[in-house]
Amino acid sequence: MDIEEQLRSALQRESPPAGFAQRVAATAIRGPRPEARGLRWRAIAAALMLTALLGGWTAHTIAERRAGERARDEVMLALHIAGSKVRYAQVQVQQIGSKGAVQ
Amino acid sequence: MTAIVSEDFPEAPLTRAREGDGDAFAAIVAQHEGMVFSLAYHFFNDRSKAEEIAQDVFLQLFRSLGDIESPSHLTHWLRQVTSRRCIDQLRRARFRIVPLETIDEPHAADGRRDPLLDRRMRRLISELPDLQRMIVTLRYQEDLDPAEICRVLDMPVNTVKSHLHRALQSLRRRLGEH
Repeated sequence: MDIEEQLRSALQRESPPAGFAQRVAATAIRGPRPEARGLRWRAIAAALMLTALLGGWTAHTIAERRAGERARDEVMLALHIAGSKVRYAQVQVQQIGSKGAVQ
Repeated sequence: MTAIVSEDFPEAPLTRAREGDGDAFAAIVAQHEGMVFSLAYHFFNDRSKAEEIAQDVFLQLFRSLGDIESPSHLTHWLRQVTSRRCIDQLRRARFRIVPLETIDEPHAADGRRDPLLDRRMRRLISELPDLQRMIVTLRYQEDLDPAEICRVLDMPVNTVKSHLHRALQSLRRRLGEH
């Protein structure tokens, strides 16, 4: 017998233990079915899309709030500067008034 | 659960199994279990490991039934997934190969087979490097030619031929030594 025949003889197919096919099929059927796989992926895709939309909306809201806060701060600063100028003018007017009364 | 394979309509079990029919899937497993189990058994030299690998391969098949186009595609898919799973598992887990002395003799003994010679040959095969062992198994268990093996293992045909040549050289040399 040449080496190739010896190899074919040594490597003949063996059978798994009896009942193997039924056990494997029963295990497979208990798990998720092939069509459930598609449903699972669709659910994952929907969840990802929802997360992305929610993330985008949150980011947009935060940006809008920050812009609003910035605008409010600018208005407050402008009012503060305007208030200072008015007070300065009042003081000047009062000083002129008191000098006029003395003379 | 009864497993009946229709010879007239070989694609029928595939179609029914895709719809979740357990009997049809059991029929597919029964038809291919010898091939899948033996590829793993001849690679690992361990019946329980081979059973574990075969079960994993068939469970993966069940999840992938939608991708299987025909019975011939199914056979190719099973050979490919089994051989890759064997090699990956061995590399990842550094699986210890059980010495042949500790394992059972093959169940179905053919009258023309010489059990001692088979045992000696399997011992020599088990000492081959992983890839050579898988190539030799695909060549002589499944009777695939190098072009078919290269498609299963996704490697150039010349690489397969070279591994096969080196494996045969090594086996001839080791047989001469014993």
